[in-house]
Amino acid sequence: MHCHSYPTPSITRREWLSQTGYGLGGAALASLLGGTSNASPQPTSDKHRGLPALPHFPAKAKRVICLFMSGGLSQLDGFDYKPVLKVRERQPLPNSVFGGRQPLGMSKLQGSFLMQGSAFDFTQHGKSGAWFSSAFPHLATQADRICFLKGMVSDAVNHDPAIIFMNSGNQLPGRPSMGSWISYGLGSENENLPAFIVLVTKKPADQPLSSRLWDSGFLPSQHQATPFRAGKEAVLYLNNPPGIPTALHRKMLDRLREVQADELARRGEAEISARIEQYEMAFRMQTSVPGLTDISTEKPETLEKYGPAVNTPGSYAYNCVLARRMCESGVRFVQLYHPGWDHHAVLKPTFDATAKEVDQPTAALLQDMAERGLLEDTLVMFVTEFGRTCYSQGNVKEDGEYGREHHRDAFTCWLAGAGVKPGMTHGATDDFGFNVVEGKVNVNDFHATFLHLMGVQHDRFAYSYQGRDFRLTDVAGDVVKPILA
Amino acid sequence: MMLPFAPAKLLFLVPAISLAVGSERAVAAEVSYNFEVRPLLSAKCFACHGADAAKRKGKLRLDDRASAVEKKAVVPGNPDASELLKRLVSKDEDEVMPPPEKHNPVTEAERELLRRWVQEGAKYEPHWAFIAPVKPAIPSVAGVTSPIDSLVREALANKGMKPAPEADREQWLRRVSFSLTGLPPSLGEIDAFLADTSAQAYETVVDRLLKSPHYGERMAIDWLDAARYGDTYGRHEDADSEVWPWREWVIRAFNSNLSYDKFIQWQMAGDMLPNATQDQIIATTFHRLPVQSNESGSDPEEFRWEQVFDRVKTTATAVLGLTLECARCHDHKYDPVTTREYYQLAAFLNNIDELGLFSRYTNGIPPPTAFVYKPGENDQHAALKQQLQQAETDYQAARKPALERYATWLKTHAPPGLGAGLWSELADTGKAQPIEALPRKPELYASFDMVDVKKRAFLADSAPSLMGSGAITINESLPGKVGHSCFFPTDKNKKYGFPKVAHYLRWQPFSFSFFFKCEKLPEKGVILHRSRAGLDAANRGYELTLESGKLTATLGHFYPGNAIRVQAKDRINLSGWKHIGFTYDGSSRAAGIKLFVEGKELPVVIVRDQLYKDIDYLVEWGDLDKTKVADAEKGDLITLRFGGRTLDSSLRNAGMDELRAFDTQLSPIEIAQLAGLPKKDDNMAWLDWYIREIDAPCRAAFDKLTAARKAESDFSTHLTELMVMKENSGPRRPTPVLRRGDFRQPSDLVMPGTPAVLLPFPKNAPQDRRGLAQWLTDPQQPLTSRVQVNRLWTMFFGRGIVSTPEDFGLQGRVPSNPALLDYLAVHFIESGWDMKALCREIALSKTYRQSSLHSNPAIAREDPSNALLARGPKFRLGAEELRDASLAICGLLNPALGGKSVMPYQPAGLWEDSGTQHIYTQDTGDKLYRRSLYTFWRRTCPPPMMSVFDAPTREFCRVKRETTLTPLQALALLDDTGFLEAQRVLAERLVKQHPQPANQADRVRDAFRMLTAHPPTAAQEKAMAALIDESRDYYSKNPAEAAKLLAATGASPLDKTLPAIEVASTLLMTRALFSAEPFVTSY
Repeated sequence: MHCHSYPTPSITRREWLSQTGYGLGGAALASLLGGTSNASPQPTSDKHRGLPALPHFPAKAKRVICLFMSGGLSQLDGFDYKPVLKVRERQPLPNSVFGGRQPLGMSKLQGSFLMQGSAFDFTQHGKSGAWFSSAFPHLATQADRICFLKGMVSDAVNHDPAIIFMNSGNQLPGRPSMGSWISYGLGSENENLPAFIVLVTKKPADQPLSSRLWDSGFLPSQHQATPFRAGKEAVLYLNNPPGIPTALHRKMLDRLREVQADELARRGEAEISARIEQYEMAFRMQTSVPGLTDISTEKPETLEKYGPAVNTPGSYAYNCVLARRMCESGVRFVQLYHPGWDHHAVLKPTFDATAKEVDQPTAALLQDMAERGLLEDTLVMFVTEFGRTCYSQGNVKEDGEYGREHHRDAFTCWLAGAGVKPGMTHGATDDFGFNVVEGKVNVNDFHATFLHLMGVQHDRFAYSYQGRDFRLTDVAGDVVKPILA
Repeated sequence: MMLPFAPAKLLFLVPAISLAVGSERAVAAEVSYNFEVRPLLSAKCFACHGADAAKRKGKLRLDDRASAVEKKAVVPGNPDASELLKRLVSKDEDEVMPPPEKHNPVTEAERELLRRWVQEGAKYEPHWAFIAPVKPAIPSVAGVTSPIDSLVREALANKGMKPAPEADREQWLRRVSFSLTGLPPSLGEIDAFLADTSAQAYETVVDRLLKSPHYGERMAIDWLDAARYGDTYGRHEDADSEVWPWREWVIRAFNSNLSYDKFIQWQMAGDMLPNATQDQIIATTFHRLPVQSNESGSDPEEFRWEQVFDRVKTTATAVLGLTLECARCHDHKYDPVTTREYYQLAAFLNNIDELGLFSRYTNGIPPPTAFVYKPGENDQHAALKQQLQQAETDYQAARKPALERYATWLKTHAPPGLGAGLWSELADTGKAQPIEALPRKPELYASFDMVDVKKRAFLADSAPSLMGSGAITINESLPGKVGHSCFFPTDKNKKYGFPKVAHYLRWQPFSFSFFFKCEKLPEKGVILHRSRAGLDAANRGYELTLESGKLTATLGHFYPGNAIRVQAKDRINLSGWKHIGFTYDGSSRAAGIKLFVEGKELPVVIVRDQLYKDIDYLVEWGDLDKTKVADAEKGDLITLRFGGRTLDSSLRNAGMDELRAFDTQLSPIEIAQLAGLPKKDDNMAWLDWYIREIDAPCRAAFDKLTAARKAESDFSTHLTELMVMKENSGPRRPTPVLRRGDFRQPSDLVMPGTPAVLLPFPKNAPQDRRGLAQWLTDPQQPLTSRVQVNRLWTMFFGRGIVSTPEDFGLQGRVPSNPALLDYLAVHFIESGWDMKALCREIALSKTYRQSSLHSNPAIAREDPSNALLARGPKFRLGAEELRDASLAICGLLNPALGGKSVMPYQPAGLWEDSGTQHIYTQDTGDKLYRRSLYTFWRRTCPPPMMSVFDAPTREFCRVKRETTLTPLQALALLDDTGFLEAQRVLAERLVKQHPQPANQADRVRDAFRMLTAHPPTAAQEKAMAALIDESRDYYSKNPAEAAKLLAATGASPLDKTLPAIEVASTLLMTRALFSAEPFVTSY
């Protein structure tokens, strides 16, 4: 990490602490660093700022990069190869497959449900022989680092409930997101950066991506994500206004410390010490974030691997590099959102284009992380909110263009890195990619598993609110043991 | 009535603390089940030995005395014989309780407590919060007169604690100004108070603050959190919901000191009160604030239920302090509330005619709605309605003698049709005119025989320049009723239609006549419409559809609450060419719609009959927003089309022929004739035609009627509309218990009712929302008053007497001072639920006037959260207070009250990047300086400054904000444009006041007093003066930097008369002080 020196203030922190006899209260410091806000009088050591009881057991993964493909990535055009759909293309989906269920969402209005094969060719890769469509040529080279979950299922079929469900374990907004749970439970590994950071690809979004997805719900609001934005000001309010150079800003902070110190001397309250520290942390963030987001220090050959978009701030490729750098700096949970996967129509060119944005950077990220040893203790999760139907939505156009409706009963996510068996596929769908026939993983199971990899037993990790213990996994969730390394 | 607890005992009932400092217990009072034992049992035992039979172990329940005694778990008076006590100390791993794997052991002190409780007879009590409060005896305590102070001091004395000394005047003044108005005192107010040596000085201040209009604004902020107020619907595309009139009402209600019982009654059922006023109706918007979605493909019923659930949750949490939503899926695990009772409560709030979704393609306000009249508008609207009624009466009066005039006319004329064939020949060729008068010429006539092969489109016969738009395949056209037809082999052609015609509004009569064929009739399908989409556009426009296989006609502004719809009684068979007629009389009433098949009028049922806003798409309403992705696809958006529509059921293998659209209401005989029925020699059948086309008095009266309809419609077009509650006009909507809370699994039907554990439902109360309101505010209701006084107490002290305001149930914390809570609760009811009176009493109490520093620092260790109130309140200012204070101090604050939300400074790009397709257009001028509660609240992307300082998202009811501490808060205070501007404007004021650099210490002193109400200490003054010096050094050497800095400080004009270097240097000082402890904290 970067090391910064600045003029020693007239009173040091240690002096205030000794003067007042109070010290920087453990609770106050913990609350500042992203730990528990419950006013526990126990002092908290600098290394551990989460809940004292966590992790429940030694964690394989210290941190997470979550790659969120927003819109509902079609498993049938990406990773779940179903030749039968090609063979029986344009034939009605057998009633036995529907199993008496009603079609949902927009396709409930259509009269026929004709099977649609993928427009992409599928080939097998790596020792594991994992299937990849031709839309993911780079990712395919990483086949043996990936653990596919092809039996994912969700409860929700509309974007708004489904994307919130995937992020918080509940279909209604208001519960804490995955990352805020981690920030709350495990705290930060870094004094200069937030524990939970969100990066959103800057491109026109087909589905809304807003702060509710990374909100802290009923957890104290410091556990909400800090979004890093493309552009000059990566974090809201980070930059000093023009005309205040860092040296003068530092002088101002030092004089402010004197005002605060005098207040502390008279009142002797731990909150004041914490607030003094708050400004030092803010200053450290101001000085460390520009370095973090300046990728010009990367080797050219490294950047090249992430593809040509890497030099465009806000691109997925650029965000992947940032995510890796954040991992190196000890950020617990980095979440990347990439919109553009909602392919109700004209799927082939748009899926292809969206995959192009994601394919090479994701592959490079895995490789880069592996080469630096980061995959040893970092979990990479590639997720989406639901899958898509094996029948076409509406009519297939004369030129063969088709679309697919939302489908919650089968979709594909994958994991890589710490604690996960590489080069394996868990779970399978039927010949139509419509129903899960083996290794079903629902959203709660998924959450239970990732918490497990972080050393957290999901059913012992709760927050009491309104007289009830709330969990990320609600009242369900089983760890997917077969994939654990 | 039995007292829930003896007053004398109350003084010792200080849980947690009492355990921690048990040695200081003055007298060994009897152990309290409610406040000491039950919380312990609940935390350690009830999970396995409680109310939930499914989870119960060993068939033992400890929450029920009879059961515990029967099982000998508790032997009253004999702890040693009690299994409970034995198990707690057992060394046997299989015996000891709680089981070791629960990691929830019982402490020594807790065991001792249980032992004493059993020794004393193991008395059980109903949960304290479910019993009506009883006023406790007020102990006499030396030196205090207020019951609040007596009860607090008595509790302190019992702990051996001394109250803090009185706060100095500036401290109290700043504190009380924030508590009552959310704003700091001005220098003038500070000086006036310091100079007021009269005995009433404190009262004078409190009375001034309570009279300030800012009082209502401050009080509103907490209620906006509880009521989950936001300016947008909150889900998916998150459009603007225009509910600010409700916020304005809340402020008005507080300022006019509306009693709390009425405050609740109006919000629950104001619309149902006799002769409900506009304010009473606006109040009910409270129940229309749940988040709504507009995602295509959503099941409206699923999302409608979510709103009903949210009404229950919000009422329970905000008014009763209960977590009833647990009972949505299963009986409540802790509080005695069943699922059935939950749905009974939901039944009160499940009886409005709502869709469940907001509209994707219009900006319509989801009904039920009410117009919010500006002054004068109500009278104007009433007059227009009156004129409309008069015009109807006049028209009916003109019709009566028309028969006589018709008889006279017939002597020299004949009605049309007799001797004539189909109208097309007559009207459109213009050749044969055997009679003097023609029937009305259609506005659109398409025989689908005229083809523009090149453009693959049909032309309209009535105006051959009018070309049908859409991708019809000419080759696929099939023989029609006459010549060719327009045929839809697949649903691809659903966008076929004729633009620029048949643009009918709700005040205009119109008719359609056509032949139709559909080989395989779907349950649902769109035959003809002029609209953007179906459900996704709230059925805005007119449409002829098939619903459940039945012909259905709708004119809608927003279905179902603002629409008229009729539906044929019987299913229809369209396997061969059938003639269909659809006429409307322009009355905005369902009875004005008629449907015909093969020339015969169909018997229909009226499905909806309330249309009070136009059926058009208007730029003024924001319906044609081309910036929206959905609308950007095509230019020609709203067109007469047939065969299907966007996001709706299409027809396949269907065809249309001989389409005619008329801008008048055809009479049945005309429809029959168009259908090709055999001609009848019946002059009487043509009377309506005569009245419409020939009879001068009737035509004049009808023109007047149409003008009156148009005038009323035009007027309503521009009125502000607001979501409100309004009961279904028909029978009550049935409310089933939903298994597992799933809307697809309805089971037993329930009637409205309230949880039995609280107060019985009043016998004479109506079983609707009025009754619910009455029940909630009944003086015997144990929770409503307690919850509200606790809320008010929290506003003053930063912490409630019950520290879990969201849960007064069995899992909530017990009151830190039960007698105080009950005194306040009963006293509040007795005062007529007078909020200002209670605020006054608290603000003037000695408890509130204490210094925020303890008399003895040791007390802080014993009572770190100040539950016992041995000192005055102290807390970090909230988001709104910080921003409002900065505006007030620098003088920029715009004191305007109420009105639409505004968009002050916000970092660029936040909305634009979120994918919700909204653009943040920052306001200008004095709108930048409105109080923070008027800042536009996008629920998916709340104002970042507010979120950083712990404001909730307002998607759900929240009755408590956690105060956190993050570096982002420091950055916001330093670098938000709004704060920076306030720092600069304040610096300008200070420089203007004290222009000489030599007097810069005066600037520091003034700034300190303005920001903190206190002068600085010598050290603080020195530090800040030094900062000005250091800054001046820098800017003197770099004057361009000073100019750069000032140029970046917001939109208000710079004072060019002042030296930039002085202002910039002073700005560094004000900037530091905005982050200083005595500013960001209320001591």
